[in-house]
Amino acid sequence: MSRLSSQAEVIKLGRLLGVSPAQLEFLTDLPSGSLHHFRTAISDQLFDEQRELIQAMAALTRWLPSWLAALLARYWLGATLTARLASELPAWRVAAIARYLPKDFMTNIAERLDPRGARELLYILPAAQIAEIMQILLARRDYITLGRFVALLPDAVVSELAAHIPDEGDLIQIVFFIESRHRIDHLIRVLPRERIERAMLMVCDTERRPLWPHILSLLANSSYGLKRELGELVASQGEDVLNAVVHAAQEEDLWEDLLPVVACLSPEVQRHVVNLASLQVPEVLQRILIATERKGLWTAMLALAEYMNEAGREALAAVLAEAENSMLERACYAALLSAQWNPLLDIARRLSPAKRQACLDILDPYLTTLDQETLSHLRDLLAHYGIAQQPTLPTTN
Amino acid sequence: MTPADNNIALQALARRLRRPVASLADFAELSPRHLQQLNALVEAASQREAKLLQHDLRHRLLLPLRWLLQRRLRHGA
Repeated sequence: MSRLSSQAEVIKLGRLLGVSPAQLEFLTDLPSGSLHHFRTAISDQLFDEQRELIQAMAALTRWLPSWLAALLARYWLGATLTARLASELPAWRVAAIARYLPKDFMTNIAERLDPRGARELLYILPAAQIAEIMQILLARRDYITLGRFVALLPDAVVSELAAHIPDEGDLIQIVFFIESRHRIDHLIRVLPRERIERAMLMVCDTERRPLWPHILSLLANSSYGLKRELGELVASQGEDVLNAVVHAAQEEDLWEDLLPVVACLSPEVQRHVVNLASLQVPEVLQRILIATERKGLWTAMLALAEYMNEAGREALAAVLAEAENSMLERACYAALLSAQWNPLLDIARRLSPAKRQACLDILDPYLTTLDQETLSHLRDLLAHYGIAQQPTLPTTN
Repeated sequence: MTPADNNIALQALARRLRRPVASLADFAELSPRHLQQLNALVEAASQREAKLLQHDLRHRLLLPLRWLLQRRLRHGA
């Protein structure tokens, strides 16, 4: 789960609790799954207020003809109570009453509807009526409610709705607030490819700068193949665009979302990206290493370091030299797991003698666990990079 | 603030949400102050929702009765 997913959760939580997201900033570092679970617990509790009375009212409503129930809902109960009643009635009954309700009123109900009972209702409501509600939500810029319902809609309705949303910026915002993030990859495939590409190319438009994190969120939640395809589309827009993306990631601390995307690109594009001058700045590399640590991205980081030029490796070593030894420990462990010794040791050789010794101390316990062939290879590499002389290393039996 | 304070605040939040403490395990890394703040926000949201519903229920459900009463009073006068 990414930082952007957590940001989306914090915004939704702020709305549910009636406070600004800034007041909940301290939650942004928590996993989005936990925040989602927390928000669901609050939502369940809010929707359980006065439930017995609402259930009694719902029981009475069942006896009324649909047109009369709609009339009473509109002119007597209002949207809040009607939404609560709708949560207690069978979906087919709500759909029958909804036929007599105007779209504005239905939209007000949609905003207040208990998410627990919405799925079945959305499958029964006519697509035309859903489209009307969505259009009003769009006019109100209520992307959170839109994101909540889009995740529940059948594919055919999603395609039809997307055709009614002319601006890719709106699509991106809806996807950013989507309730089930595992659906994002599927949704991208449901939407027309040219629209997704146009959405990606908004990174070339500085006027759309506020939407860039949302575009990255879409990329970060897509599958490996799509990450690569769409990421390379962005990368092919030239160095200015890539530099702008690096600056945006740095400004908004989005490296933990961006690094896995870069690691999915083709080797040539990865080489191009990691050797951008804007990326080899100490402050940027420092943030990248913090994100790497926080999200356990050392395997991706070492894969990227593999493509770094001399200047990049020097800059990375300089940042690593200032870091705690625990960072080096995790880098060594990742190198051990994925046999990425070359980039790690080439960076380690640039460290101070004390840090190089720390590196050897970290590796020492691992060496006894390695098979003869791997150990011999590692010893050769350590000698090759001038980090240790062969005789100082232990041998296995 | 000690880890015990943190544990107490987390348990209070879990009780408030009627969820097991284990389901909020990731929230244990928050400070007790933040946990108390969350608890207060949940409480406030819950009260707001209850108030809104009660107002709606009282105001709207009694509306026909009030209308009938006013009508009768007008005719009576």
